[in-house]
Amino acid sequence: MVLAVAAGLTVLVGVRAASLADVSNALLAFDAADPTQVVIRSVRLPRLVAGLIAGAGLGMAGTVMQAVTRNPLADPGLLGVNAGAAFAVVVGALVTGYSDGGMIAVLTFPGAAMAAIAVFLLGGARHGTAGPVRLTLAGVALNALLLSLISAIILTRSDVLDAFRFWATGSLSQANARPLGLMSVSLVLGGGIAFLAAPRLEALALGSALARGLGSRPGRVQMTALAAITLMTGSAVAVAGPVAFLGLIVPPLSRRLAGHVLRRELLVSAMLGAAILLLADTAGRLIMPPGEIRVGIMTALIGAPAFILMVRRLKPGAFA
Amino acid sequence: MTYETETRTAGRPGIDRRQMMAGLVAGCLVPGALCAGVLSPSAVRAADGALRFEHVFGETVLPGPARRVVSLGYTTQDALLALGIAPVAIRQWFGSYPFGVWPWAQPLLGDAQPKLISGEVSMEIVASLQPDLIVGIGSGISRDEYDVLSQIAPVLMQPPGETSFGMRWDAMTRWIGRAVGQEELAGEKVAAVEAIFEAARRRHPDWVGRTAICAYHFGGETGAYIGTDTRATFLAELGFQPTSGVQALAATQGFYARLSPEDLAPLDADMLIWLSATDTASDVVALPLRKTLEAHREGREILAGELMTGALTFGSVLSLPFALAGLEQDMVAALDGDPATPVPSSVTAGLAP
Amino acid sequence: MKSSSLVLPLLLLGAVLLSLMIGQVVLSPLQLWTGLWSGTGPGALTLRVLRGPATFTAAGAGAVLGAAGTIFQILLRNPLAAPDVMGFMSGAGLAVVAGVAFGISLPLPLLSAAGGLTAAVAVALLSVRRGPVMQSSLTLILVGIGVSFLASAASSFLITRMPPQEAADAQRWLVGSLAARSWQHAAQVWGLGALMLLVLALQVRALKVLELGDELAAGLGLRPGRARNGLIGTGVLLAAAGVAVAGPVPFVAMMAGPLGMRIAKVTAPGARLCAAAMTGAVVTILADVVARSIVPGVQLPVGVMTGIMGAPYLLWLLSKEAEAGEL
Repeated sequence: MVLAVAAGLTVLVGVRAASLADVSNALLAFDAADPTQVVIRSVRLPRLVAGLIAGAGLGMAGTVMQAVTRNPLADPGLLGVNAGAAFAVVVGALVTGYSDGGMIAVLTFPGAAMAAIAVFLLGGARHGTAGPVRLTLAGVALNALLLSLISAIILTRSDVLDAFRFWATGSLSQANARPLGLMSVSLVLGGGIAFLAAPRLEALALGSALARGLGSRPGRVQMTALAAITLMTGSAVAVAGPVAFLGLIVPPLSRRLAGHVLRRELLVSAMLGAAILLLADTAGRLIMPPGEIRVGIMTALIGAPAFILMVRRLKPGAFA
Repeated sequence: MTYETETRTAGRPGIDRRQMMAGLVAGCLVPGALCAGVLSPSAVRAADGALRFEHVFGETVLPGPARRVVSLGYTTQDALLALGIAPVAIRQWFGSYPFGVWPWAQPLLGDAQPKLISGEVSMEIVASLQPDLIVGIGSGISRDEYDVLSQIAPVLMQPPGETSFGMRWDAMTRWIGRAVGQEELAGEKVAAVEAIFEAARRRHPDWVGRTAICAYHFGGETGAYIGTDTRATFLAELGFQPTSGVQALAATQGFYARLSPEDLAPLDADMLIWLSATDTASDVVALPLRKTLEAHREGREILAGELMTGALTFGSVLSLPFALAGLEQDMVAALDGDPATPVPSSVTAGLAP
Repeated sequence: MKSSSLVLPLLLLGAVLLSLMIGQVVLSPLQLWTGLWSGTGPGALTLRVLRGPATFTAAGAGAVLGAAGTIFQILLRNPLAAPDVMGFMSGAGLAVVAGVAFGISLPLPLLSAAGGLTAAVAVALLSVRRGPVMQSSLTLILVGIGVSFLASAASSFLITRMPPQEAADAQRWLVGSLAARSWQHAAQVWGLGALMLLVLALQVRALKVLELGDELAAGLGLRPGRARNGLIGTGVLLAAAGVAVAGPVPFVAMMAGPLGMRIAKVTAPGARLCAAAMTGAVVTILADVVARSIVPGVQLPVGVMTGIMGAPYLLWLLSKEAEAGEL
């Protein structure tokens, strides 16, 4: 599928030419003296893993968000969840003076959680009245608030500036410094929760009253969804920094491919999200060597027009 | 550089600040809205002995040698301290040393307690210090900021043709020396540092023509310092040359050449100095492709820790001898041709093979 | 004269005074007074150089932004409409950043006007769809948000391609900053602003008539499409004038109108525009005062403050609108 191609490209393509033979050697018969094999193993493979985690996490988080809010414009980046995670990391760097991988891994989750809760409440999703304008603007407001606070902190303390500089836009280039193993576990956990809760989420789409009549408890389901979103987004941000728009463009595509069964959508979203992220990353690496365009900017350049396209497709009744 | 030096009057204790301020303000009452560009203090009647400086934003005239100096450049406090002037304010760059004065300059600070300015320059703080001179070389201030500052006190910028961070330490020391009435002393200080480097070259004739690189790894990006960057010129002063790989990259970039993490070959020099803000540099240690470099395998890497990196980065008349003294032993060990000789800084940082 | 109509001018005067008095160093009104007349001393320097130009530039920028925001809020009948939300200011900002990145040395107001107008046209074209006015206004707002995302992404991209010094300057500017403002900047924003406000004064009658609805307006002899385009143009140019002198300061344009309406208790378009201009000026001045004094020794940019102040306002507005069923 597309994912296999994307993964292959990530590993094979880059400043240094590599062949399939190199790849298999790198994995099976590693020779530490061969630079190409070192590149594959220690530079591209971590990138691949990080891309898988972040892409799958954001794709699935977007799908869950859109299902819960019944809003096609929901996305972790647009709704301030990424900013929440980044804010937590910056405050952590401010308070403790550390900004290494371990601390990042711990802080992104509470940050993402708080932002997700805030958006839900402010966007009125609790009562199912999160119209696209209201939700999007709530996200814009939360993003503006968090990013302004982050700016204020950075401008006051230049040591925090150094720690945050690489968090301003998402990138896969620091993959080998991130807690990949831990984050893949949390991603799988989040994905698992989402998977299990999927049928009840679908029931929620029928409307809270009806769902309650069918025996599920909307409040509980929403909390579960929030937990899943937090875990998945937190993992994604921990390995790749804040990447926006992926959660926006993946769900409609996966709905097309997988039909309207949420569980299948989740699976497809994970793969599609990972594929798109990896492709965006590879493109960013190829456009202007030896530097690279960070993947966060690539997704924004693709995602913003996509957002406009989706707004145009909204049916008139969907504004309510 | 076209400037004229009038004969200097013997050191008058102070300039009549109120008169100058009044003159400045009077000059500004000419409708500010209609004045395009710089409102320079040349509205003040320059007394004999005035010092004129032509620079990138226009011309600055000092009625006499300055005493109360605000140092807005990120490294200009070193030149001022070397010339016996304790600035009334210093710009914070990096590091957490009191008053922004690093160890190589601290003995010259004495009891002075300059104000530390960090981030965007606060005009109010500068004005409250009532300086006679604001040194803006190497400060990155914009035209707008220059215009406002020059209404507070004369602002010294770099001569035309120099970039804001590209002025060499010797030219900068002399330029500032003229402004504070210490031209001779400036010349002596510069000559002393040059002599130190000359002596080092004589001690190590085998260094001439060998390749050496100062490299960094910061936030996922690896690169080498090139061209007129202080860290590249430090090596050049000792007789080293950059590698051909870095020279090829230098053709297209400014102070530093960015490398892809997949190809560190340009860094493979006879001597490779890694600059790091900490003494342990775990991210450099973890760089995957570093281990494939010959420079690594033959133990020719050096780690410039927090203090040495600061000294190299400042690249000032005070910090350069400090850097040389601190790194010379490691450089000898790295270049002795014997992989078995441990390079102390590398070993401490875990860089050694 | 109603007492409520005096509140805003008094607030404005108070804000100006506060801004001249407060900063890293606090001056007393007496010091300012002597400084004004004697031309020497700290008061003089503060007035002429340090805070005077910044205060008047802030006032001018706030006024034009407030007026611009209100024009759109009246036209679209929605308090969520504003040039900062709808991407016009981001477009203006992008044009300026692009000018710096590509070395185009046109004057800033021209670049920012070009960017703002282009963004406005883009939003208009991309929102074309059939349907009742209310829904299309929400479409416009959403498309505008999308355009602002696009402009930000493009600006970020350009900044990564710039050398570090220029990149840092561009980042600072994009947040919205009143640092190192001179009388030239104040004159520029007041001059351009006065010009556009004059044009706006001529268009106020059209605005009043448009409020009645397109058919009635046409019946009264107005060409609704043309009048609307003219007003949009004026709005964009007003916002661009603000951006040229302070960068894309967020939320002022959106907040000024509703706040002004509440404080001055006015409903007619002309009065609302005046109130919005004054409120915008007050808000911007006060935000700048806080930004430059709240952290000792550090000068924060005004945009950071308006972001911190404006976001909660937007959230509050959203919940109110939702309750009222407007969303």
